[in-house]
Amino acid sequence: MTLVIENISKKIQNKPVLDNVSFELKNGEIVGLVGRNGAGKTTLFGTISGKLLPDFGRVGLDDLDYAKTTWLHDQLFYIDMPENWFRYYSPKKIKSILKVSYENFDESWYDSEIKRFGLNNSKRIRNYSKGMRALFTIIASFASRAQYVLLDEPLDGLDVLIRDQVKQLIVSQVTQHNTTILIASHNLVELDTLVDRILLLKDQTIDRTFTIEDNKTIKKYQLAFVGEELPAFLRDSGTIITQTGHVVTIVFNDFSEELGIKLAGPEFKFVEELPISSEDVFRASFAEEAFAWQQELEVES
Amino acid sequence: MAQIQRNRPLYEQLMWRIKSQIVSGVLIIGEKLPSVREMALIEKLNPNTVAKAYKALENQNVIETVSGKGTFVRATDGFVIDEQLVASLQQQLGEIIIEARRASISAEELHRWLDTGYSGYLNLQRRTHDTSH
Repeated sequence: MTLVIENISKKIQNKPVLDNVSFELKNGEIVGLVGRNGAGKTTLFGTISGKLLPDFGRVGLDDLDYAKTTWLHDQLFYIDMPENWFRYYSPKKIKSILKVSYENFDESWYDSEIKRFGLNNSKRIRNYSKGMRALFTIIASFASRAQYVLLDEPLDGLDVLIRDQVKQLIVSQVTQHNTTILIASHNLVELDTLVDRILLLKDQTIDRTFTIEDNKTIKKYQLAFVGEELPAFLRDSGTIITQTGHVVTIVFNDFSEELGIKLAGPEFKFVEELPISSEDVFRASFAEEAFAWQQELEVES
Repeated sequence: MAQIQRNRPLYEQLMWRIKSQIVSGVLIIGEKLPSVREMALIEKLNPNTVAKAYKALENQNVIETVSGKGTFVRATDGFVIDEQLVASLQQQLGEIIIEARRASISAEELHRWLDTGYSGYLNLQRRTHDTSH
């Protein structure tokens, strides 16, 4: 089964929020959805889950129309974050509700995970700490045994220990049940160890998809130049990540042999190629804008 | 003129770690490796990077993937000797010997290094023997 998002457009109060968004999710994939605050991530999730209707386009499972196939609605799990109906109920009560909505609801797994993480079964979710709430949301999402699970900022504001637990939970569930996950986040570094590919939502649409390891032309170097001034060709052909004195870390989007020859030239006294992370791929693809954004995020956090 | 140094790509670094763990006996023949996703979390790498390393190790007959079961360390005995690999290792060793002589490192010293390197390997042989019972 494939979840198909086909040419989705959506206006809210006459303002286009999504414009011609298309992508597909295959079974067992973990895909990241990255976009700045207000880029339309939550609207996209709402539209996929059927909470919002698209003005144009189709959300479908294979060639079926999701909106018209209510018998398949327990194959997709999405819950608004951070505010949702969970908060008024205890895990015990939520279980009885989810059991009705999701045919394959895994009651024994749900109970055992609640116990394993020491979550209070009769306490309302709104009285949980933020970390416990996040854990509970993940447990409820997977207990639904839906094929598709949409997670909106599941790691947001969690401490390192809980983040690791949430990540492990995601990985073990995907491995065991071949679940397909779409994770919205504005934190690339966080997604790096989880996702198979990243969709970038920008200007109301999926601007591009990127995968680490399938690019050959992106290269990252640390180098020390000889003269007083940074050689001009560097700025023209790459994105400078850091510069301290004569030492520069730079990502080249489109590395060529010609560039390699220049780097081996007398203008540099030290050149070292560095391994590439998905953050680098991201930076190289979006050069200036991404850099400004990353800095903005670093200031925020 | 600068000489370009090349850091090993992340997937090669992972291959190297796995190989050295096999050779030193930390990983035993037949042992199951973490799944690609688990390994990605453990090693703080992207799943694609881990998949690439696993694929390359499979091609080198270091590990094997049994579909539905997982990825396992492969037995070293019984597989065809890769003549290309042997030739390339010989060449690399030749280069190391030249550099070592230039640095006035004695043959005895170099032998000692080899012995230290191989003591881990001998370990592995013993362990393999144990597990076969």
